[in-house]
Parts: sequence; structure tokens; C-alpha cells
Amino acid sequence: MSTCHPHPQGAFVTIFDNILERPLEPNLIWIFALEMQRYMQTYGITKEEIALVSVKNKRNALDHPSAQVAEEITVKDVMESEVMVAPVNRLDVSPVSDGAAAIVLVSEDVARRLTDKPVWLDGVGWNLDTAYWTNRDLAFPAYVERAARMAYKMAGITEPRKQINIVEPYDPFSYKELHHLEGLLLADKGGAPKLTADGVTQRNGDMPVCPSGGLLGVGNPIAAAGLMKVAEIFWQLRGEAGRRQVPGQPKVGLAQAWGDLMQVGTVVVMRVD
Amino acid sequence: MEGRSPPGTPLSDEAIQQGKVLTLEWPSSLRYAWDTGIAIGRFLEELKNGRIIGRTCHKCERVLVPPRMFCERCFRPTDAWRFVEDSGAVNTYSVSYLRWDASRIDDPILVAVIEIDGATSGGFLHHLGEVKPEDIRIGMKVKAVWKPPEERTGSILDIRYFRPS
Repeated sequence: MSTCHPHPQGAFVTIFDNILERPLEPNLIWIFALEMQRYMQTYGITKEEIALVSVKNKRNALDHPSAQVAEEITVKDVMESEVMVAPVNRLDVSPVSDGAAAIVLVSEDVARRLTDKPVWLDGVGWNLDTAYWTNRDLAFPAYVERAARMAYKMAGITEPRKQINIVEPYDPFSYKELHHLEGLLLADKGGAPKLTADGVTQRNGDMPVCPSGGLLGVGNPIAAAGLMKVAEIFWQLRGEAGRRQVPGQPKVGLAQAWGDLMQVGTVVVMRVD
Repeated sequence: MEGRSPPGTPLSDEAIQQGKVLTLEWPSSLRYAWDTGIAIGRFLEELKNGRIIGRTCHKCERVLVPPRMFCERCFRPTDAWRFVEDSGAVNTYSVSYLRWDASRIDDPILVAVIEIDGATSGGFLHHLGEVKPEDIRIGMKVKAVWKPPEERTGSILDIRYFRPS
């Protein structure tokens, strides 16, 4: 890790509108705190329910060789960690990370020559919503839904909750994993916290979510983070995820990335034969 | 590759410090200005007058605040100017113990997205004032507190903050 002085968060002030927002001296975390608050209020979700995501992902990351902030923590630890921008606490946030990820993409013919266990990219989708984020519904990421529908259509996925075995949604903040699962149509609106509380999203649950440890546990190398998730689904589908391997030989997985001023969604559906 | 130097002649710190390497000094002058565009330009002009203005789209019937000349939902130009209120409701809020550069503060900045009365689907980001953090609620009615006219510059900061009304 390189040292970070001054704190790189300052650079993110440039994502805000230069005329209407930057004079207010916004911090990057503001937009997440505002979105999280709206999400909690709309569906009656508590901070404790959201904290379970940090607990799960940081624990999963204990099995990842590159993890930056893997640890065994409790909901109480999250709740008592430093309040940064309420309702966001320190342990609700992924760390500042350096990192890189790479994958090799080849045609079907070459893939079959190189390996008898190729992983196929069955569907991709992306969507860009308006940058006027203060005019959007902050409780639901509509752009993620549109990106997901595009990828599902290409991949022939008609019932995502039944057909997708394993998920790596973008989790830079704890509530974001829940928000994105709902956008991906893998949970009802406001329903993702219950899936988490019921253990459905645990590594040995019915729909493992962030078995890698996610950005909350492994780290958040911005711009490499989405591909990190594609790589994890690759290893999981090939049964090569080692101690992170989910049981049941998953056949179809999904990786999702997100960015900009909370308005970009990218979805990749992957499959093994 | 161990023990083998790469081809070429490496530069030493000493050589650079003693001026043995050709160097060029260029005091950079990277000045730039933002263009507000038509819609935000008018918006700022009206803030100076103590008023908030939006643009209407006759197709989706939205009143857009902040205003823009193009409706991103209908993919067509917007149609007319419309003054809206300088009051509204808290759509969402947060209590920030961080400055923009991530340095810590004890006296938190109160931040909210304000749904402006008369606008459709939202409004803009601003600060809240004259309220305790624990008393802020989503849906709370608020009103703009303006700078005195002589201090206004045509900036979002012409509104000091929004306070409970």
C-alpha cells in the first residue's frame, strides 16, 4: 500500500457539480449517507440490519489472500465505530485501497482450445442515469435494474432469483450491497436486509453474496473493483475459490459494478457448462 | 535478470542536482473558467434576486429544479421558465463529521436534499441550519435563509441554508 497524504477522499469533491454543489464543500461520503438515510426511511430498515453486511463480508474476507480489512466483528462493533457522516459509521465503509485485476477474454473457439472448463460471459448490461442525482429516487437504484434487465435478456435469464446461484454486487458501503441486490431484482424492494438476517446471503446460504469478502473486506481499488468481482465469480464457477468456495457447484453467477455520481450500473452474467 | 543493468546510462540524483542534466523550468499557468450554461446561468441570476427558478417540460409535465434546457427523461428541449417557492421539505439528510478533505470536525455540517415546493421530483443539495441534528426528520418543512441582497453574488451560497419553517 502506498501512503495517502493528503487523504485521497479530497479528490472526490470533483465528482460533484462544480457550480451547484462544490461551493457547499461536500465530502464523498455525503451522497452515500443521504442515500442510505432515504433507503432506511423508505423501507423502515435499521442500521443494525445494514451492519450485518459488514459483519458477513469482513468475515468472508478472512479467507481471501489479498484481503486488506478482513476481521471477525459484531454488529455492536459496527454501531460503535466512529460516526463519519451519519448514518454512515467507519465500519460501514470500504477502505482506501490500491489494487489491480485482469482477466483474459477470448473467442469461443480459442476458449475451448485453451481449457476444458471455460467460463462464458452470457450477458452484459449497463445503464447511465441522470447526473441530477437530487432529482432521483434515492431509495431504489433504477439504473441497476435497467442494466440487470439488459444482461438478463442477453443471458436468457427469466427468473433471476432461481437461475442465479452466486452474486458479487458492488459493496463500497454496507447498505449498497442491499440496495444493489434489490436493483438486480434478486430481492424485493426493501427485502434484502431480511435475506441477510436469514442467512440466505452467507457463503453457505441459498444465494451467496460477496463470498469473496467484497469491497468491505478485501478492499476497494476504485476502477479495478468491478473486475475483482468478475474474477471471484470466475474462480467460484470453476470450483477454484479455495477456502472461499461456496458449496453446491454454482453454474451461473453475477458480478455488478457501480459508479460515478451514484448513477452508473454495470452487470455481467457468467456461466459454466 | 538479477545483476544485469538495463541498457542505457542511468541518471544519478547528483547529476540532476548539479545541473548536469538538461532541465527545463516552465511556470505553468493553467487558468480555466466554468461556463454555467443557459439554465444554470439564469438559476444563479435569480438566486441573486432571492428567487428560485425551474424549467418545465410540457411532455412529462415536470418542473425541473435545478433547471436545464433539455429534459433527460423525454429527450427533448424543455419549454418554459417557472418560478418555484423558496421552501420545501427534507427528502433526505445526513450529519457530517467530515470536511470535504476527510479531516474531522466536532461541530457537524448538516446536509440535506431539499424537495423544493413547486418542483417535481426533488430539488437540490444544501445545508440545514437553526436545527439540532437530532431534531431533523425526513419530510420536515424547511425554508431558505437568504443572504442580504447586497451580499449575494449569484451563487448557490446566496442561500445560507434551509431552516425549519
